[in-house]
Amino acid sequence: MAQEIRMNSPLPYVYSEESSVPSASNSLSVDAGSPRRESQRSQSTSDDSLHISNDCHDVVDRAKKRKCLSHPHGSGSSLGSGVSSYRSVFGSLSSNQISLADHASTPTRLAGCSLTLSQADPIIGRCLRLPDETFVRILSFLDHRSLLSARLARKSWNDVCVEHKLLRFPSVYQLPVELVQEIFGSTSPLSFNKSRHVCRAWHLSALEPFLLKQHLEALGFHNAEASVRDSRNAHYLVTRLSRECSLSPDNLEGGGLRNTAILDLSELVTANTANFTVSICGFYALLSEGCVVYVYRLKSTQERMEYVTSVVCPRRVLAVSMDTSNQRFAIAVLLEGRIGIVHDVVEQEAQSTYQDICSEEDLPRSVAICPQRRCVAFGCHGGIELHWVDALTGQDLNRWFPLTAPSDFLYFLPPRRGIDSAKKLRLISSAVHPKDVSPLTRRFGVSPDSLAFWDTWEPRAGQSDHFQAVPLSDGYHILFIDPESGGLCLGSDAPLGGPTKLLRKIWLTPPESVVEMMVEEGKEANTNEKLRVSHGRRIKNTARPSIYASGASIKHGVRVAAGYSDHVVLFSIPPDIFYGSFEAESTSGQPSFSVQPPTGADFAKAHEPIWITGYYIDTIPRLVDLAVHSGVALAVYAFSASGRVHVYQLEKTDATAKLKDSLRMTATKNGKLAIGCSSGED
Amino acid sequence: MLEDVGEVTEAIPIPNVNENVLKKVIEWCEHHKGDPPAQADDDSDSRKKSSDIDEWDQKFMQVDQEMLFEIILAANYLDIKPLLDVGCKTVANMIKGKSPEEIRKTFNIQNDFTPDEEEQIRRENEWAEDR
Repeated sequence: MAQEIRMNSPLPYVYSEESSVPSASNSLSVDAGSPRRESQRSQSTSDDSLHISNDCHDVVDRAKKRKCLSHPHGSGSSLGSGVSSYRSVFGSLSSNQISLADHASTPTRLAGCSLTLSQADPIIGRCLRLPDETFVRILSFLDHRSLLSARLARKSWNDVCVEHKLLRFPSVYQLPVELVQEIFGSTSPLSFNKSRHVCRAWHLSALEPFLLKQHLEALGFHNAEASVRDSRNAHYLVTRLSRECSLSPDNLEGGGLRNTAILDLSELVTANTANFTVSICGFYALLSEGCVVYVYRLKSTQERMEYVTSVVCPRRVLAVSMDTSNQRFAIAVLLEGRIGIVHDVVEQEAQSTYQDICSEEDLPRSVAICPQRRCVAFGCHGGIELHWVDALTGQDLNRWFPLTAPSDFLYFLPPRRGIDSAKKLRLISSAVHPKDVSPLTRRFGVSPDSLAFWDTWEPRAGQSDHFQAVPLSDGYHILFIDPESGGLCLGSDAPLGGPTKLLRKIWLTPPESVVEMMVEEGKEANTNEKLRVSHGRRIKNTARPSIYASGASIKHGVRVAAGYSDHVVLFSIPPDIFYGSFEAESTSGQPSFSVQPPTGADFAKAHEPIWITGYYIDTIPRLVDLAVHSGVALAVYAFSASGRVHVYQLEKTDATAKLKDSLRMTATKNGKLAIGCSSGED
Repeated sequence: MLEDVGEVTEAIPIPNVNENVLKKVIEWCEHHKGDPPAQADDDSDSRKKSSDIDEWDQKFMQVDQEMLFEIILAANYLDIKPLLDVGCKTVANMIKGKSPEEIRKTFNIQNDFTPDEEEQIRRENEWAEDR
């Protein structure tokens, strides 16, 4: 065949423009439901309204006799067979819809030659003088798309295609809805989600609640979520599936979190480092600059961050704490000179001032505000100093609690619903990882020399059960670093391990790409040792995060943002795994959701280590803190020591838009944010 | 199927399955005739969850797409669930790890979404509220 089609040869042929020739609009059936496609096809055929006047009269005559192309169902094409008892997913497609390919741009391949329709004209005459059988043989070598293009090149070609039944729907078009759904049921959730985006028919086939629930269950978002388990709303289930797939570490197609705003607060920063601290509740960010604390409210919509107030302190600020989870809008500040204050954010005067905190030999290094009571705690190397107001007498009281590990990180644990009264106070104190710098040093520029016993506690690191413990909002669970592996864990109090032990329930590990970047930067050792033993279990070797935060809302699972060096990673812990009902459901078929963590033997069984890999978001130079809004409007805030705040939200616009349509806001000298361009990229 | 029609002496027409496909189906049935009967939980999700396909079945399914889909249709028509599973898993494996565009290319499917529809799909993960 290749020898018969010589593109450069002059070809003797005669064209005549005859408007009386049946137009393609007569010969092609029209799908009334697709006016857009109809106009496309009409345009393409009108451009090709020339027809051959001599050699192909018989072909043209045959065409004139036919009123329309046979529908694949009726023409004996393969679609007609075997599907009579089903709705075919492509059954609604008419024959003209098969010509939806971009004919103008699709190259036509003729026996090894590739040509576009505009190039094909010189060849047509010669081809049309060929006997029908030979011409059919030529067409038989074309792939499906080329054949679709070729049949629109000439009406006579189209007729030959129809006459000899060359046009066939792709085999997959034969499948009825039920079998497409059967295939969808055999795919992974991610593949299923991608399959839904293939074409309209598959998209509609996937809108089945049972199918969507099956894949949500495979992802762990089913048994422990009544909104999913009991839902019959396919569109709601689709949004849930789509969200979780877009946040999957295996999602390389985009559609996940993207940078929607950059807020520049560098105008407020006079030193080299901006001291950001996110409130425990995750809804406020505090910027400390010298003696001033600027308070911002984090919002998922509009300006993303809103100036609330600023607090002027009598001394330089070393550390701050805020927790509005119980509607207490106050901040606790640790100042130079062993001074601490508690300040309501709407008031001008400090509510309480504490002096001579801890001791000259053991200076305070951390502060925590109690969310539900007028109480504040200061941590130092040797223990915790707790200050509170007696509810009956109104008297200021304090008490010293010695600890075996330095109190670099100090938090009040939220009350457990149904267990803890508002009067009961629970604190968790932990040390920073030996290879990390003190939070005071990192965020507030405090010299390690000024912290007592800075060098002396390190030998005890091997005895520490955990580092950098940060509580979750449920009051049960805690994020911490496992000393042996350096990995980030989510766990809870060990029922048998004493008050200083934490159970490892879920291990959070960054994606390989982040570990590779850290190795390249020299921030993580490159080791071939893939497994380590910790607490009697073989665990993977993993990178160590320097900061992390969890979202307050855990109704739909736990979202944890972690900074590995400067690389931000988001972990999504499905509710079925978090509440321990993942395994139970798959074996018994009955939901075993429980808001209370299991205890005893069930606890140990439910706490077989589970690994969850994170989703890489971005790299923020000089990352100092993170915040997560884990509700319906998911958002991750990354705070940089340069004074910038990067906000990441689920993609809402064109994936290619990226940063160019991100909101840009800059802080003025009084702390308020105004829309404007920032001064360059990080 | 035979149970449905009862005892008959006449040939049973199978209009939806052509000769070549029927030969393939019979070949598969011959190979698997000694397999243990399906368990009671045959219809459970665990059957679907595994994408593992027996080595012989993998080779058996190394046919062109037209034959593959014909086998699936035949297995469904003749109510041979294990063969239907193998066929569906084979197609599922062809989908695995592919982007929507790659899936379209694999199965020769045309993207018939309008730009508006594509935008709408892109916004699906904007979950507004619980329903």
